[in-house]
Amino acid sequence: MKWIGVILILFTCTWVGLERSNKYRGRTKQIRECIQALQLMEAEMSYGKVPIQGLFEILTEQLSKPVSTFFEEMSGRMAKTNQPLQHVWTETLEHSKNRLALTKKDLHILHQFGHSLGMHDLIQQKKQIELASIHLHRQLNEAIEEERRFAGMSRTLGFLTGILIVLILI
Amino acid sequence: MLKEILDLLSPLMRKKLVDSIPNEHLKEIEEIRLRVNRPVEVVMHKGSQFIEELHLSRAESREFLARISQHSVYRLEEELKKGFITLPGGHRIGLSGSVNVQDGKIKAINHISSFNIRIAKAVIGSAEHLVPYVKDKHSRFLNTLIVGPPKSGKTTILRDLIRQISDGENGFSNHRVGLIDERNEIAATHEGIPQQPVGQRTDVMSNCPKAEGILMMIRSMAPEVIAVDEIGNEQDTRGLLEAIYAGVNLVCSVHGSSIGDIKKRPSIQPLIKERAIQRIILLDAHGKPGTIKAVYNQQFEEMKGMTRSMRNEMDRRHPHPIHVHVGRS
Repeated sequence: MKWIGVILILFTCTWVGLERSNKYRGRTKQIRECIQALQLMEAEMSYGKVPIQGLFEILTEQLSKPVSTFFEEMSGRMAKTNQPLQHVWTETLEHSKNRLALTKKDLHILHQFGHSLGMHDLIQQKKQIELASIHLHRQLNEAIEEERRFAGMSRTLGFLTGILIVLILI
Repeated sequence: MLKEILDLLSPLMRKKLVDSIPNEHLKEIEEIRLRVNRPVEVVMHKGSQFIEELHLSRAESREFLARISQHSVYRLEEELKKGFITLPGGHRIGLSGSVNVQDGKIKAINHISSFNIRIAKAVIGSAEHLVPYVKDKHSRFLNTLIVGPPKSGKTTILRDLIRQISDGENGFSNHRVGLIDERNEIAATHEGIPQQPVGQRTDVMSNCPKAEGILMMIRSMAPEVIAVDEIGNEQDTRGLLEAIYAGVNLVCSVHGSSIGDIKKRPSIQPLIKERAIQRIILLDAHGKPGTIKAVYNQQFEEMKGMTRSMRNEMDRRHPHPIHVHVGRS
């Protein structure tokens, strides 16, 4: 009986640790995806002259989850409503906040970018994309640094906390 | 048709607009003019009306631009350069604001302060009353110049005339028509496809400079009639002459309010000198759009008295509900 309890505690703590470390890793991955999304957008806007709805569909196809889910949702919502894009963008971002591993600061950059999307001519739009890309690159560096420092640590920390609790309880 | 336009407006604006215009007038709307910080103007044929409680703010104007471009203003490069946007359905939105110039050329309209939503209405049969004047004995089409001041119905008439010669209606024999639609007003193409009825045998080159377009058409599409809208400069005329020499017939429209105006226009001189224009149709600015004021022949003589006899010869197989004044006084 006692041993089952020990295993359960160890298992839970390790799992929590893994989850935390995955969050660090996921953030780097998702910021990378966002940067890729911006690059795709720029290319499609300047060479393909794709309307925004088509752009979201392309991004849904080319990116991987969960960032692609965000664009899928955008495309679905835009098709349905008559609201301005900015409004829909904010709403969708708010809705997918929990699914993404992004921090408040990352989301703020995306939010800001959404406010310029589809509002300016090509030159202005490219500048906005560049700006968002610069900001995201800075966030990416920070995320890489954090991942290096904390990802491994939180994994081991989870396991060690488990052992600590077990030792105390025994 | 109007619904397409109303859908472009934000829900709040749409509601206010529909509320303040009586239902029976809604159908008569020709233009809706939006200006930043000023009330919205609704233009009907009879006159215009301001909607005082409906002002357009800067933010709303930006939002409106995003909306009409399907939230993709970055695609509007050419449109912002030319100053108008064509929507599916052939409606057009004219833009004005401060212009960004680079190397003496217009690059784009930057801050848009006015929108003019022009509702497209192709009036099928509006050129029926011209038919007797522009057809010869062998039911072939004569080189025609349509002259009129703005809003006199030039474009509508030209469009219907193109449709008739192309489809061979009203006793015309069929003609292949090459339409060079520089301002995209006649065919109102959306992504290259005409949104207005321009006839089965009409090929359209839209947004194309007229002079080059005419040559391209002649070389590649072998048209029998070339149609152009609003000829302005000498280059256009040179293109038209080229078409005449190639044995192609012409139909074109030009701004002007009297025959004197036309004779004086330097850009039209070469056409006059070559006696290229066989019929000049002068439209009346007052009265219903499309009213003919006078028709002139090759020698600039007014063709009077023809009206009645020719009217009786008109093909009446397709009765149209529109009765247009044909110049009988």
